[in-house]
Amino acid sequence: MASADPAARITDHEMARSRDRSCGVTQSVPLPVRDAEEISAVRMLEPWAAAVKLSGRRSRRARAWLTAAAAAAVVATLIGGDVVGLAGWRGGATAQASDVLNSAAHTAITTSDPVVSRGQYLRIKSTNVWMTASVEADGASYQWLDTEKFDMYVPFDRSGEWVWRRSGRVPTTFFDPKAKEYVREQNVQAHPELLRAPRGEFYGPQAFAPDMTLLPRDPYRLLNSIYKQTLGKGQSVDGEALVFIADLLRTGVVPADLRAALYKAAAMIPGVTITEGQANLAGRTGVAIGRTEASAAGQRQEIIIDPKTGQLIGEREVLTQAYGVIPAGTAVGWTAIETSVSGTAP
Amino acid sequence: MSFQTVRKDRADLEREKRFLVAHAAAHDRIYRYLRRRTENAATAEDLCSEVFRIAWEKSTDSASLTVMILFGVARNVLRNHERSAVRSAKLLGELRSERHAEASARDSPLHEALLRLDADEREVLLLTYWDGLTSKEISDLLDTSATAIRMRLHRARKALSRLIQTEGAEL
Repeated sequence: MASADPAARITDHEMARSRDRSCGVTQSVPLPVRDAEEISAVRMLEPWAAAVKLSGRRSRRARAWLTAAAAAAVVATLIGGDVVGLAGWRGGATAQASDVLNSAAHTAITTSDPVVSRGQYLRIKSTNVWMTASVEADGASYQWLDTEKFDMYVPFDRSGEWVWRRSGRVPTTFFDPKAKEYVREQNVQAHPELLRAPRGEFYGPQAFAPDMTLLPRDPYRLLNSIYKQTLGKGQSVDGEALVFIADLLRTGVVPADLRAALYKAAAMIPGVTITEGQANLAGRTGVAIGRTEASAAGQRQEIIIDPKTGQLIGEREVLTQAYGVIPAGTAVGWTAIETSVSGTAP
Repeated sequence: MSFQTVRKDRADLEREKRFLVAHAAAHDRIYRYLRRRTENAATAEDLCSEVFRIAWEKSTDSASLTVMILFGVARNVLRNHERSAVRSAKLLGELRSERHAEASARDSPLHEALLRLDADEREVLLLTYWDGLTSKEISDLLDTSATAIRMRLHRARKALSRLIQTEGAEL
């Protein structure tokens, strides 16, 4: 009788798709914006990432902390109910995406990282685009994109003083004259900053990046630990796991062996596909590998890698449907990263 | 830059938490239940999302979203779906008989036998062997006594084996 069960033919992918969709029924309001109290709650939960999470990212993650409260309970239920064998339990990326990620992982291992000697700095230059969504008391809402340039100097001795130059957010892209007028009226200004802090603790005692030595290098165990940290956050289990990987890679301080493991872990996430064969980011070309959320406020999270060198060029977040005046298909958040070695810091 | 908020109060947080826990515990079983009783994955997915949409809307009060309550919702959603499916099938009578012929050609003798069973008996068999519910759970779901369910299950087993034997003879 059991052998004739039609449910025996259900694929992991099919199950995961339904899981994402039915979980998404709570997400009927897209992209809500958070207040200061909520943002600080997120910082508590995601300490190391807080410094690079500006409002485009914040607004997208408005649900992260709501659901994080339930994360522990969900983890217990899933593991207790034997629903989650964690990584690998739901299938994997498409064959094509796995191929690219696995070969990128291979080149990441064989090509070494830039060598930083004593007295030198690892310099991470990045261009970041974020979305701003502002709602006034009268209910009028405005959306536009800001650009911010980062220049980070990480000392040879990571416990030493890090230096971070930030251009501040400059409104750069408008989709309607209303928002442009609003920005002018509100006199929105960029606030450049030059920050110095030992151990990269620019904003309080939370480090810029987690201790990379603590993360497993075995891709399966790594993905397990990512799922454990992200379950209950974001729009979906798998979507948030890819966001976690992108967040980590974006710091620019991930060593080659861990980077390789992260690529392999990404290849094990269901729903991960090659979303663009030739993606351009700040003039550089790579392969965009991403995942589209099945929920109502669908967004595509992408990492862009140069398959020849295994280097991460950047990451993107693309709207799959219009949000306010911003049309579907717009990259509402992206980061282009370049790392080098510098003898001096500002 | 002014950031205004879509604020969530405590009750909303509690509600979301309850929903997520219930979803994690029940989704896969509910989906399988619906998949077994519908023609394809897309329909099962639609119905499943409908079940959880209803659950989400109903979770405003403090009633707990247990797996069995969700099974109850799923059963109603399925019944509604079948009703409208029957209506449209009537309109597309020809098409339906074609599809039926095609489906039964593919099916195993067991599926054939299941289709010939009395609907109540079939449901008890499926809930027991495919959905893994206990007779107590089935009696709650179908709103009858556990004894009646056990009787029905006994009869269903006998009827099924009889049908399979005759089918086998015909084959």
